[in-house]
Amino acid sequence: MLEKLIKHAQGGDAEAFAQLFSQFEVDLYKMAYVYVGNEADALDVVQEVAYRSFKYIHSLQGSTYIKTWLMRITINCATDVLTKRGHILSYENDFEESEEPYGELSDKWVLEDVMTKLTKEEKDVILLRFYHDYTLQQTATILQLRLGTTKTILYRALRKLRQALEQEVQE
Amino acid sequence: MSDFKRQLDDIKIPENLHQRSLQGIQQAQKEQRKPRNWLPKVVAMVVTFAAIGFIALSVGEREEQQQQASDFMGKSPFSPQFYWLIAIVLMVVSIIVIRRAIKKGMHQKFGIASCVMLVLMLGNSALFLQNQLTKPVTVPLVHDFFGGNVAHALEIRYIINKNDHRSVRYLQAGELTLQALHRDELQKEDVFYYPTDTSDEGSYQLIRSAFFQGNTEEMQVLIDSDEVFLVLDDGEKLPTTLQIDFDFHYGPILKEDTYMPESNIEGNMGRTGVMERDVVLDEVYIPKMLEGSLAFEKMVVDKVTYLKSDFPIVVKKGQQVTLYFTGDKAPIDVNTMVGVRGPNGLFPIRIYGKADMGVTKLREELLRHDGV
Repeated sequence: MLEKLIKHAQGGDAEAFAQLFSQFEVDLYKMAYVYVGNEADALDVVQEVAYRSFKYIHSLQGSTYIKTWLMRITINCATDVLTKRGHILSYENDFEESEEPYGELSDKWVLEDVMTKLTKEEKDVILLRFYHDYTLQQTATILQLRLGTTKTILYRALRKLRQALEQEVQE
Repeated sequence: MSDFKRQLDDIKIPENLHQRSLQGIQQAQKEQRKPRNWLPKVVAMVVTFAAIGFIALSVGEREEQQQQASDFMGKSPFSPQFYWLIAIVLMVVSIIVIRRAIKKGMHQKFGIASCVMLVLMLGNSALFLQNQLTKPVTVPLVHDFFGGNVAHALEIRYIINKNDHRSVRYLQAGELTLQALHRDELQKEDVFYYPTDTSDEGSYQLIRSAFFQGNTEEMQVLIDSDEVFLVLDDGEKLPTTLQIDFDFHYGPILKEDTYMPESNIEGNMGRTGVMERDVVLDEVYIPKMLEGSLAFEKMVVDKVTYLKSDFPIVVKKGQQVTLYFTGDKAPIDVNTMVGVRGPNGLFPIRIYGKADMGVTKLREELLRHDGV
């Protein structure tokens, strides 16, 4: 079904694409919301993702990648919004190869912390790894990063979240 | 489900989310920037094919043997007109396809690249057409036969478009016809050696040679004829511009053992000889067709210099005479003599030279000699 919709969309069928896009738009909105932090901007991001994805649907190779492809577009669009705002935080250039931090997913994380304490790259990794349940390798592939770099970002993000949590407990 | 996931799932979804998605889709649809996958491929194919066609037509390859300039043309049973037809059709198709592709949302860069390619092809075609000859033209020739020979050889060169398949079949002067000899026949009979009948190659035309052989009587007919034609395979006649003669003036006033070097027409020419007897030299002899390309410089008789204005000049038996001429590049093939002469004979310098070619210069030269 998905494949059929993609083929029709690639042939220029807007209705087919709308049907296809509706299957992902909620997830994309939530993802965008985590990045931009407010409803209005998140809606702008989704609209832009719909625009770009329909415009370039012909370049999509195979239905398997539709979700990751849309997520990448969402990350790019959200990045554009943050760049315009001047609020984007770049990588800290201290990437080191590190072991995968197992068992760091806490039930006590606060979404607010994810949205406010993490850099854009850290949000990328956290969302893909712990909300969309991608493996670290898949996350690295989607973000076009080396696996070691991805691990480092994840480790740093987890440390920040743990520290924030500890701080909140103390308070 | 983890708390983090639950928190994300709890994010309130605005009612107008789907509406906003549709707006984005409609915006993309409105812009109609949905390239069809086949379109760039078709455009690339058409443009490439058209470009290859034009290159093959306009450049071609040198053919060492008899016929053809363009290998592409030479191996094909179709006429040059057929290929032009294909080229024009391809160009029109290219324009239509690119226009349509741009309308359908072809990538802008690809569209620009295709347009540049088309412009180049059109420019190339215009240049190609501009440089085409409507019919082959012959290279003017000034030629002297040695009077003592039994058989005489004559080489007349002509310029022909690279995609013109025809070649010269015979030479015609009134009732006389001399069959063109193939290069191999000439080599076999050892008349003279020439590596190929294609003597030169320009960007758009070949300069090819037609070889003829005849006895003294036949050559005399040529000399006496007002109109001499090269006749092509298909019967088309190419008028020639010839000034041919026997070297009947040669020798009587100089010592027989005087060496006569051959000089190239381009540059300075000189020759020294000793007079066999007392002579009067009253004029400079330059074949009419070469008057614009050659000039008498001076004559030195026993260290006394004479200019053209000093003629007539009396030279005594035993005096040493040196002649000086200067020449320039000319779009004429030359194998003749110049010199100074009087009632007693000619003091000659043999000169030779291949035409400095170029269709424009050649046309000017032919117009200048029209009626010679």
